[in-house]
Amino acid sequence: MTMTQAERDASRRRHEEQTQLEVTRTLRTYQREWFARLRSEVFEQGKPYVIGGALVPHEVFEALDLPFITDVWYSGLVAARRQSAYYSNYLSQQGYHEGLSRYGALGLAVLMDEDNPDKPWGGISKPALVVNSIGDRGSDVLAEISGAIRVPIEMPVLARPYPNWWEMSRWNWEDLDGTDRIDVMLEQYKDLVAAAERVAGKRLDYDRLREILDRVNEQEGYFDEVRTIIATAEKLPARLGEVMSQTMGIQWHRGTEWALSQARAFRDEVKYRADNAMWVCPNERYRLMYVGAGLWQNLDFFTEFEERYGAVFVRSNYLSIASDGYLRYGTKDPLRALASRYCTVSEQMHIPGLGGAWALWEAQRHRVDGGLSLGAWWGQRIINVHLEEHGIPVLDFPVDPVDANSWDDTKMRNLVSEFIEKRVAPAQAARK
Amino acid sequence: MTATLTGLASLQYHYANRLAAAREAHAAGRRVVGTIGNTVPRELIMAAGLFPVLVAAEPGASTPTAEIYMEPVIAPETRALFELAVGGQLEFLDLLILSRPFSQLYYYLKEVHRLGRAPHLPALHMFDLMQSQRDAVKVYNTRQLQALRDRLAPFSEADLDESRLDAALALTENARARQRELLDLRWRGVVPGVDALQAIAAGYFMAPDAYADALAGYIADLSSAPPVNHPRLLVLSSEPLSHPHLHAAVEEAGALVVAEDDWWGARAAGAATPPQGNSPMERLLNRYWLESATNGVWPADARERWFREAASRDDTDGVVFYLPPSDHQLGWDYPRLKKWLDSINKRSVLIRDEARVPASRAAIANRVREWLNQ
Repeated sequence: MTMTQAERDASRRRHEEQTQLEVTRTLRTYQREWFARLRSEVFEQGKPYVIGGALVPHEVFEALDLPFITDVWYSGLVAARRQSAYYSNYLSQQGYHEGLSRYGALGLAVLMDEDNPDKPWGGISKPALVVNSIGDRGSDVLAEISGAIRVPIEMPVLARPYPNWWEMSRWNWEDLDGTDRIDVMLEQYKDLVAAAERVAGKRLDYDRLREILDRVNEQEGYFDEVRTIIATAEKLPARLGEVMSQTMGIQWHRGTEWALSQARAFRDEVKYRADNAMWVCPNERYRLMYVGAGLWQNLDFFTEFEERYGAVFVRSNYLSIASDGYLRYGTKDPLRALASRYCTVSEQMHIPGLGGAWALWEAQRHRVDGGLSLGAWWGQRIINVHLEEHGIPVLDFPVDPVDANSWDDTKMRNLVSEFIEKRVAPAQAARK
Repeated sequence: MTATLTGLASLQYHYANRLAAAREAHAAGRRVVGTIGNTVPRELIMAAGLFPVLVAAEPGASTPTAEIYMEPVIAPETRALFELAVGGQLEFLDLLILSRPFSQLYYYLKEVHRLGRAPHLPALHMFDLMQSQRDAVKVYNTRQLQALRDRLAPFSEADLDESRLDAALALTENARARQRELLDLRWRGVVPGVDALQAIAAGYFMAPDAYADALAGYIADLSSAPPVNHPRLLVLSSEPLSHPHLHAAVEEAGALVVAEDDWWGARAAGAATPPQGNSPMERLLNRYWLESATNGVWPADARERWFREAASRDDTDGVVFYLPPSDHQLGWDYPRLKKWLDSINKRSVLIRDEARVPASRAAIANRVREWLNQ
């Protein structure tokens, strides 16, 4: 069932009441303006645009002034409107079985469901270019029904996994990712650039691309600072739902002047709150982390556990990967730097060995008492095993990050309560 | 023992006892290299004087260790292979080469090995041959092939030169030619799909010359077999058919599986035209890059070309789409392919039950039976 207008208004009011960061409000304002612009220029006036996965080099499109939206961001938008269940069912009715990932496919459903007048924010128009990993067949369908160019990306396998990859990724990326792997990504990016140039009707300015990359590096540097503040402050200075939304809200626009300035403001505000002991939960007792995806379909769900248990979420992949996975200093050849970033990006969060080492390093750095494992990413279980073996209990949370069909409020509430009482609290006591 | 078996019996023995020939070779002092997936060029291994064997999951085997480390999203085949490797059954191999579709398995194995929890693993090599048919990946694939050749060098029992590569290509081509003969017989309706699947796949576990002889014997035995008058079905599966259970269930329902778009079956033989190239290495590259049947082939036209030709044949009565719960790709193509089949008046049935699970097989047979009777 989709939400009624009254439910949407109530949800909006609840969000507003729980908002602690001013940058959350400025982000919402910008997103509304940006989306209104996108709606007007692209969805109504027909300017060509690109849909892609989170793991494609948005910076190329930014440099070509080509509007771009991310499939998972759009799925998150649909989920936030509580319409993910409806569109997930719609895909099933069209013959796409329930076992196929809906994480990035809700935009496809919205496009296919032409006759439904209740589309999230009026829906979207058909893209001119679809870029995603080669295994993402949902993107093949999207390109086909849209008559769009489809550029697939094949990520090379990491033959020699280096567990502490984040120590090398910023400066030693050629060594970390390997020349052959970077080369093959670069070759594919040349195809991508050619396709994007065709859609944009102009050539890529590599100097401009370099400037954009440098801005991204500066932005991710601010995220790095935010992470350090959260990890080292006495208590949590900013609620994780807001931190995640802020991080991804900026990430989707990375490379723009707005994104850089917003990231700086984000850092400033979190720092101010930490410096002035403005804690999310003054009675903080337990620090939890997300392992895997975030609960985008219900970001407010965990707020009640602050009051009941003094439990706060301090860490998610989203903020941490922004700096550890995205930063690539040395942008003389900007396309090569991008190719390096995307050789392994995101996968290093869950590739066995890499994911576990990173999660443990993050958990220890953030003084985490327990983890909540969400999403069905491969490699996640071995991360959970790794954390458990190092004294950090993990709850395997059985819901889809965006598909509200999988949600059972009472069951989830009981699961988390039981986890805190029976696993987190004793583990923390044992450590002390 | 195997020397006394001939024809189908010999092929079925090696299909069921997948490492038997490799163990015999090892016992006789030969070095053995295991491969996982169908895109590892076994000719390169043969040319190095080594015995190649496909390492395949034991159908239906339990996977308690995999349960600890692997998520439900991991395909049953990968879980079974993990169990096999971690359990020490592959220790006799000198090298285990994993192909791109099994990169996840590679990562899991590397990690449990790093953690000291798989002390009996053989040495691993990742052969990352990209399957998209684009110029952008050609240099990478060429480098991968060269890297594999270099990796094999220390194990080689012979100079891995061009003439030995050519000889190895000729040897496997001979076996493939026999397989193509069997495929023709299948279309004539004289070979049960279950038997055909085993006869073809046995080639991955036997020495090519021994395999070609056994297959030739089986083909000779079939020369007087009468065709059966059952509906002739084509199978399109979302996962490699490393077991005969789906075929068994479909044929129990009264159909005959005449072909399957799968490297364990009808796609093993490859094209009748030899691969093109100016050198044996280039021919090898083109065979495994451009002719292999895997889920990774892109674009869809290339991936589906064989299927569309087979489905369009007048003597194909229908198509079985096999999308067990592990499917996360073919399901996106299914509505489009079904629509296309409808447009050419070919019937199709969708199977979502897991044929590896004994309890599901009756349900599959019933589903197919009902469909055939509609």
